Amino acid sequence: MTSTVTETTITTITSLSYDALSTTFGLIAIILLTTLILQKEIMRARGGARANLWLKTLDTAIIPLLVVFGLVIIMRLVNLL
Amino acid sequence: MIFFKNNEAKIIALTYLALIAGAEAIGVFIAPVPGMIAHVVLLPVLLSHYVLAEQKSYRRLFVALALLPLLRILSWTMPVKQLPGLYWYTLVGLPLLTAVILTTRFPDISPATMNVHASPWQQQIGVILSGAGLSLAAFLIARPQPLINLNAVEMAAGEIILILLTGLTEELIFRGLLLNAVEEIFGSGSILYSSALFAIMYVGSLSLGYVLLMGAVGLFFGWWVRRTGSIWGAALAHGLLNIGLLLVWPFILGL
Repeated sequence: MTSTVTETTITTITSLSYDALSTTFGLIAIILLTTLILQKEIMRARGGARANLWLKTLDTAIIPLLVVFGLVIIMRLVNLL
Repeated sequence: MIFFKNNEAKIIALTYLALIAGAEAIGVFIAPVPGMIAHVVLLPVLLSHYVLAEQKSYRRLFVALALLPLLRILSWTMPVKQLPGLYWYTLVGLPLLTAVILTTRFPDISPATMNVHASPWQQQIGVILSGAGLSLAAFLIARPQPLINLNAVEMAAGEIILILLTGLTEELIFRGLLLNAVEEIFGSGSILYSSALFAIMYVGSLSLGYVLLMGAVGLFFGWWVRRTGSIWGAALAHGLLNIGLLLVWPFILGL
């Protein structure tokens, strides 16, 4: 048991179906990803001295969340097939 | 003026610690979804605070703290029930390690500010071996099920995954970025701050004994990293702790 996979994680993941997980946790993560991408594009459009730092900073969360998005899509497809 | 500046930084740092602890407590003791929402709110707030606090010398603390809500969001979204438990650590750990590496692109963050320094192995061997003893204590408290089937391939894969994606990644966050960032604010109290957050992230283990042990492990690793200026020994010890806990002791003492 580590801080990344705790007892609560194991209980939650094993007690719910993937449909339930992707429409709660997955959906919340995708909403966050969309918000961060939107914020990034607004900052890019505004330009200015801080724009480059905003892009780098937001990428720190956007790139890992894109992996979450990819996994949610793959698992939804696997469940459909 | 310096007194006021330091107090302001301490209040901000302690407020975020309380907010992260609150989000963890909601996720563990109330329900995971509201806990996840709390982390989802905290993540962009911390990232925005980093950019907006450009005059503050301690602002890299906000990036270090932002990795904790990200860690929890990944830990609730990435594991897949159909895959063996060992690969859950890969699914959560890889994007998290990617985020840690991405932070080195910031102007005030570099491998040096994450305590990534070379250090003679003779100096680190003691702390590395302590991971084996700590893993036995952790196993006796948590008693987890074995993570793998007992064969050489899964054992080798498990060792690599646990050293790189739990030991190294968590040490880069807690004893690398975070410890270094709060040192300017709390001085020697920085070890206490990073250990408190380390223990808070283990509340989901649902074992007070385990949380306290992890707090003590955080203090020990923090003290060691501050003394030697290098996270390598602590990262390997942390990896060994997890290998013993999840791959070795369950087969020797748990069956």
